Amino acid sequence: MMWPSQNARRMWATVATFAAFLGGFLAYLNVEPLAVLFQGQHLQNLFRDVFPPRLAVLWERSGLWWSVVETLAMAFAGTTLGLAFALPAGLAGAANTTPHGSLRAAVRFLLSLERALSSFFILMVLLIAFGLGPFAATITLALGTLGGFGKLFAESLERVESAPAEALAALGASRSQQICFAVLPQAAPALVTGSLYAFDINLRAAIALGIFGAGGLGAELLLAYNTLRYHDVLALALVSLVLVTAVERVSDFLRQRI
Amino acid sequence: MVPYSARRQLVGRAIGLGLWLSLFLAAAALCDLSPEILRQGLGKAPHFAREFLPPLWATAEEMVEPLLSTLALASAASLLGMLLAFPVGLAAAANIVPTWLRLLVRILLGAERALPEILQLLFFVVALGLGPFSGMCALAFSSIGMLGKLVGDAIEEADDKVLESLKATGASFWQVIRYGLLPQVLPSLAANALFRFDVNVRSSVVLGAIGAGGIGAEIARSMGMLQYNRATMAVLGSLILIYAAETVSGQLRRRLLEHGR
Amino acid sequence: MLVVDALTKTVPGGRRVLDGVSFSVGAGEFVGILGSSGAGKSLTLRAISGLTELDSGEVRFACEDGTMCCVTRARGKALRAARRQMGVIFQGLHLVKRMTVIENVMMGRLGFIHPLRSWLYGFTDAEAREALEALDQVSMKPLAGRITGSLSGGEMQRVAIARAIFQRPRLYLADEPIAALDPRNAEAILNLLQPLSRHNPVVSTFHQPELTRRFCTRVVGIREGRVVYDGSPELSRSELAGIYGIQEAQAV
Repeated sequence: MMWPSQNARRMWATVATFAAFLGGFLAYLNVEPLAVLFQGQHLQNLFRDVFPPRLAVLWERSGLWWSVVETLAMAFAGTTLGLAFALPAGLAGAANTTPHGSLRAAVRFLLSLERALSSFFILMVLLIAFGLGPFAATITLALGTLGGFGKLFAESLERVESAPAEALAALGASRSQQICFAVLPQAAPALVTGSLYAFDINLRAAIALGIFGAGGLGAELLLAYNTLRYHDVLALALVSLVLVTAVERVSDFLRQRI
Repeated sequence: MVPYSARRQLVGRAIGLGLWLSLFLAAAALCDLSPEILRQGLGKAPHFAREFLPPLWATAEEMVEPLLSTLALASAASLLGMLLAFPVGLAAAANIVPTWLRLLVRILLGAERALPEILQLLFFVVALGLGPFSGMCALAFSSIGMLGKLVGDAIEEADDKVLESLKATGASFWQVIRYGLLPQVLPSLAANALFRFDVNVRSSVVLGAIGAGGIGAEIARSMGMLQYNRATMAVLGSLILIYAAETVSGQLRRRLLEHGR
Repeated sequence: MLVVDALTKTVPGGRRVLDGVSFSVGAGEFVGILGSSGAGKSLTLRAISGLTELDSGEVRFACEDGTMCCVTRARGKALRAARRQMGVIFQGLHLVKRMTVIENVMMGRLGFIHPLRSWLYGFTDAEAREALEALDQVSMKPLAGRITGSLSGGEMQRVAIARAIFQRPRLYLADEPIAALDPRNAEAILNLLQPLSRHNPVVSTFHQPELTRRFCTRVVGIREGRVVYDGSPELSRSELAGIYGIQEAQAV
């Protein structure tokens, strides 16, 4: 139990260090936050140009609802594609289901490599290769899902209790039967939860990638932004918010049912 | 009646799969996913390999400054995020603040987490103009969103008995927080902040491309000027940065766990 | 029918957890393996099933064609063929809790079903009906459609037995089948196992010697990896002491 004064000194020292670092970073970036904050006109700009949201854009632009559908389609297709490969990758990458130990190591390595690559760069490359549009975004999402959830799936499979699979082995079941009847049923809730989570993430990402040029709601946002229609931007942002939240609620509901 | 029928199960699975597949095909059609486009793109692969590789090693030195800039941005955002997450988390905890405030804060945090970072950046750029400052603010804002929720949850799960006994000794509100809550919440906050730092480094690269500067801007600029192998060099640099950041934060997190502080 | 021959296993650190364990089991026997915790009872059973690697020793089992084949050295198809003739009744943890009772029972014959048919189709109606009969034998038929995880310990143990019955093996291996049960349930389970043993031998490990006296036809005592007793289930004080170590026998 330390004396309060010593503890307090330590705490202030830490805070001071943090503040020093923060100041250093900001200075490096040539940023003068204090000046900016005190000017305050920036906040005024924001409120004047952005509020209130021009909800009229929702019925004026007929293509808007279509772009929402497009965004959902990108997220769904990307997630499905990614999961279709993530599941076998998970099976190959889990110690209790992989046909060969070195396969497990190879798959894990490839997956971590894939995760390290920023999806932003993958998107850039794909946009150049396949042109602007949802194709590049969908593939980017699929690859991202594969990297992230391949690992998650492998870990969920490994975390399963080994006793039932062992019992099946003892009564003569083959390896594939052990996986099918003991490992997979136990891992199923985790896999389904993971898949729903993947869809949530990919929906957000689909909007973001749209801003980069892939189409859908993001593209509408970018268009409004570039044409300085900031009230529309806010309205569309609210649409995004509603969309993401609605999907989140639905996934939560589905998760309970599993 | 036998409570098992392989046929029924099979039909159920077939229907489910059929539904999924049709939804997927519909979505794929919407996304222009087609084998022709894939073949076209893949056909360009050797051309790409030549354009993008090898990375332009000569420009390695030029990459250092943007990398440092990105690092500074991510670090500043993470620090700010961590510092401000604690008060925000306090305001989001049921055992500290009145319900209306908690609800308001939680809704705001939820809204923040629902929106993609890039979208948030757009708003900051409207207010503050292009440049690293708006990038840093956007990142700090989303860091507070994530960390604030975690801190709020941690405070709600904190040991009430410790707080009660402190209050019983006559400690003031802020003293209870400093000596009762802070020690309980700080270790997990620090660990989460380090994790957030990893995420922020990646995000800084991406935000850089839309105007926040740093290595992301470098990548976008090189791509825009069609200097693809320069872009590859920049990407390589960003990969090294991300890897280094992950390693350092991993080490720090392990030390935190060992010390138990 | 089953010959266990000089099983030996050492763990890192040098301790011999199995030290020349040998015994044999013939038709109609209900063999109870006794010993204190860590003596090597469960390990012996796992070795018979081939779930544990051995340093030396053999397990020979009467195969489908009548000859004695070696289980320890079998691999692949041969191992599968040997194992499907051994029913396993381990404690309830060995059931898949998310699946229904009847599905767990039907998994007993996976050793006889071609893998492709089992995962593409599932189990036939005939198999389902037979599984219900097995459940009836253990008085669990009304619960056939329930999720296994919702059952009590005693009920899960019965399901495990039903799975073994459904399998129609030539030998039953049971590991602490009554350890987690109260005395009434324990007796009920043993009352189920005893009639089974008249057709196909049962080899089971136990903690407590009282019940083995009433139900088993033979007792094998294991202490520190070695067989120290092999004979009648009527054990004298000194024989019990030999199996468990003197102080423990006094507690009995």
